[in-house]
Amino acid sequence: MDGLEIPNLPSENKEGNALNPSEEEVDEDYANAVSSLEQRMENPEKFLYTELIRANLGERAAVIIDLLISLGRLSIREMHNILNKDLDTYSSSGQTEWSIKDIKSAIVPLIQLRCLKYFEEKPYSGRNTTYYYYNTDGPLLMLYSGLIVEEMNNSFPADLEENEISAAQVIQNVLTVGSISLADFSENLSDESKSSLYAVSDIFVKLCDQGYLVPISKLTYTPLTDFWNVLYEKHYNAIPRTSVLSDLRKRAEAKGRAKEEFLNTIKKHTDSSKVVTTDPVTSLRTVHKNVPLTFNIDRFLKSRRSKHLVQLSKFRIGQVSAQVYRAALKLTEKKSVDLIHPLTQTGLLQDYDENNSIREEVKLMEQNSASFNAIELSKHLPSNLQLEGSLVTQKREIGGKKRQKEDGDDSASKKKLKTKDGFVIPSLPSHISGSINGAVDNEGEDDEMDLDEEKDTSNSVNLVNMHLKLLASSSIPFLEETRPGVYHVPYTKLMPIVRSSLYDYIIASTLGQSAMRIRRCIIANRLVSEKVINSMALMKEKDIRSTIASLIKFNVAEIQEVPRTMDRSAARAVFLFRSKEKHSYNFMKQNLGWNLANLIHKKEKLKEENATLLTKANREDVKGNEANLLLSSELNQLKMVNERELTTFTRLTRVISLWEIFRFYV
Amino acid sequence: MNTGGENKLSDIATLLHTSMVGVNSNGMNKLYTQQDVQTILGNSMTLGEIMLIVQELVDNNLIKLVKQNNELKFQPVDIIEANKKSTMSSEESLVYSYIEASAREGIWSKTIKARTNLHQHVVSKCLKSLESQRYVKSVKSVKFPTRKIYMLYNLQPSIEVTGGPWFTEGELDIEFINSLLTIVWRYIAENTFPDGFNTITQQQDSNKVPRFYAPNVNNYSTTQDILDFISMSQVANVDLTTKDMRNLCEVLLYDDKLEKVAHDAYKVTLQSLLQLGGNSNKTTESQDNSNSNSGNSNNNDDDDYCVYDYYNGIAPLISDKEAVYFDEWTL
Repeated sequence: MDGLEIPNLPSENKEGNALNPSEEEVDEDYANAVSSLEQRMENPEKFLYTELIRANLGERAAVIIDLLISLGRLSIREMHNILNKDLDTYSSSGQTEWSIKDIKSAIVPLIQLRCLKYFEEKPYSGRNTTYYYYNTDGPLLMLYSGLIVEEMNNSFPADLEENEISAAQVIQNVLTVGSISLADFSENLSDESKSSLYAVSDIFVKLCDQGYLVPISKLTYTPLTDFWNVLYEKHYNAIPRTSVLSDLRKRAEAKGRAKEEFLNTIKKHTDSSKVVTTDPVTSLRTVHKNVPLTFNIDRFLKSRRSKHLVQLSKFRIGQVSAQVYRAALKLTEKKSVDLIHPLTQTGLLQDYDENNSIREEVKLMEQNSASFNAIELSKHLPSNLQLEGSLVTQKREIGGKKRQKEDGDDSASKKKLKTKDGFVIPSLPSHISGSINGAVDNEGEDDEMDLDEEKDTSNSVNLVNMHLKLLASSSIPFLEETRPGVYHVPYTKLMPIVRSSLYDYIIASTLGQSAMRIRRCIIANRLVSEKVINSMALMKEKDIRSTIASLIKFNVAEIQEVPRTMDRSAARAVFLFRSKEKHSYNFMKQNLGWNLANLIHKKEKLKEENATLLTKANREDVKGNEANLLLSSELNQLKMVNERELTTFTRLTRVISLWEIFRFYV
Repeated sequence: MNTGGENKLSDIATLLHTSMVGVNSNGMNKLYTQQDVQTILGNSMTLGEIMLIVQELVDNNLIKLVKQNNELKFQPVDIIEANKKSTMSSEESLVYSYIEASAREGIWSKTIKARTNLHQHVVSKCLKSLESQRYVKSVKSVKFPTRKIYMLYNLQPSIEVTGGPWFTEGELDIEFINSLLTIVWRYIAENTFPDGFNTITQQQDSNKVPRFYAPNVNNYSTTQDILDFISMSQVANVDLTTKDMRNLCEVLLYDDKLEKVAHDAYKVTLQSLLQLGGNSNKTTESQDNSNSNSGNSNNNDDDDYCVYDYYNGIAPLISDKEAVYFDEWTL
């Protein structure tokens, strides 16, 4: 009976998203660690990116990024002017002036780590100016670096006996220097590992095949909007002036051609098959030696997306089906549609028709690009996965209380379904088999024997098919059946569901179960008054009011005031509630993003406070001899710092896993 | 003619009244036209004579005049009812007639005042005396808890006034609702999963694979099924309908404990079942995992942080300086 009561766990029972402790518990130490008021006020995403850059590349780089995020694109000269005008806000302590050289040297690593994009523009005055844009790829790679390495370890497990170079190591190098070529990487290997050169090239090939490594090109550094504009201008100007076409026609034509070229160029850019060649000496597949390769974050985000889907399916369909689903996602991941359609970054989305057509196109691509069937999938299932006995094809009677009539119906449908599918009952529990009439029983036994002969240890295709059907027939469309037996993953339909259910549970875990009930009630009924919630959600008005107050604070619900008198007096007005998902999700994204940034900020602050100790501990002579060379108080302090840093990292990954849903998968 | 006081009615008038009321007093709600009255009394009477007889009945409150479609009609009144009225003062009977007209919906005291055009004092005096004689009663309305609603003493307030089965004495009966919700949810859960509640224990016991119904099994429950179950188990002492069941299911739907398969057909979400068993010992669970999948990276998601099992989380310590707070940004 305790299943439905609102859990009386305290609402701060989750590490990730607990509510704030009351004021008196906040000690001074804590207050110091929190970010400044200014950091609270600004755009959370900017706070996050600048904190990331500051933690990884230092103060100066952070200032440049701060500037570019706040002001948009800037040339070096413009940056120089602005920085020196507001020297107080933009300079770190001790710096008197920013020289052009300072800026340039700060920009180099930023470009190298894909934190900046640039575009050369030729104004009418004639002199080319290079404008710099901030690029989210770099900070995101920094944010995700730990998770990326972990994912690489899982996808390409290193067999340490054969060689000491693993995919994770390669990726780690790519992440630290931005891009790397096979030649560079092999050169830096120590002498004894030279022997494993082929193994290294093999890892490179694998990574390229899976799409994790892509060649770096000019497009990586070109802002897509500008690229689009250039293409469009080019194609528009290519139409002769004397053409009899109307201007509207000309523009449409230019748009069409530009789109084609745009998509082609991008496709070529991300196509990593180009870099894979055959080694003339060994005739093994290898990667072009001198092509610098970089990490493809979109590809990585796809694997994160699969993770979220598997998690959801685990809590919705069941653990076994979730494992089948995981295998299916892994199988199609590489071929699946990009997270963000490149055309959406061009500003074309402003046009309603364009928006629709892009959406339709993506849907079509989903259907065509990555479909699979049970036979294909059964080859890729993990060997230890036990499908047998996971599904029951007979409806169980509840304690014999069921009416006779229903019993008859049930067994009739069972019979029908069997003859149609020829499918078998995997090991019936005894109390059920007893209750089925003889004919069905015999039939079942026959089939069971057949099945046992068919399958050795591998999971039968039939069972896999059943699980796929289960996934496809769920109220959440984890899969869609394109043709009978052929499935694909309908990401465009799925991701909004993933997002809203994740949101629901964030709300439930922080504001309580009743908050979730009210949110879902409001969404189901669109525009509701307190009375409607009262009658639909069967909650007391007093409880509704207090819950709704917190929902409104977090932008989960919105108030609509309906005046009843001419003078619009608030006392007489009726208040209705509605929910605008876009606003709620955006708020959640910002909230989580800010928390991410704040965590990084706290971590850096902690390091700063213990800078002396940390430098001491990191000294060459101290390393390994900490117990002898450090005081016991220092050791304790060091332990504390390490522990806090570790918890920060755990929390970071946790918050990331929530944040990314609202950030990327739109 | 009306000389002998209220109790003495002419025979012919009594005859008319009795025949209008009919046997078993089933004519109480029937309306009679002038022609009908004429047929009852026999065609030999003139309209003038009939008028006098009817007038006599009206004077004795035994007939009500009703206007319907611009036509005058007569409605007989029960003798006891008529006696009641005859003991009332004129104001009282006016108030009474409005309360009577409101039937099971009841009427607000302010509306009575507005309709009757009587002074507030008079109305409240009338209501007081009517109440003390147990002719009317005041009821609590769910919709307007502050209003005083009056209706005839012998009437049962309508659902609109009482708020339906979920209200006890005008208040939402949370305890009753919650226990019903649990019962409904458990019933559907037994239907949705082959092992019912054992599904979760099997989930934790890694030796056994949790079993689910194959996609072609109809494992949903309809509102009718639920209603049958509820009425059979006799947990509720009020009459419930499928509509009420739907209402309960909707609430469970908002709680994400059910999912809707089709109209009026529901399944339990696995999530809610896991949540129920979720407070189990996490350490044993992870041990089980490591035993069954040692050396395999396929189950690595199980260790991943996931908001769907938030109930397994541990509250951060107060001294924890890195805890993330949901409302920190908005402070």
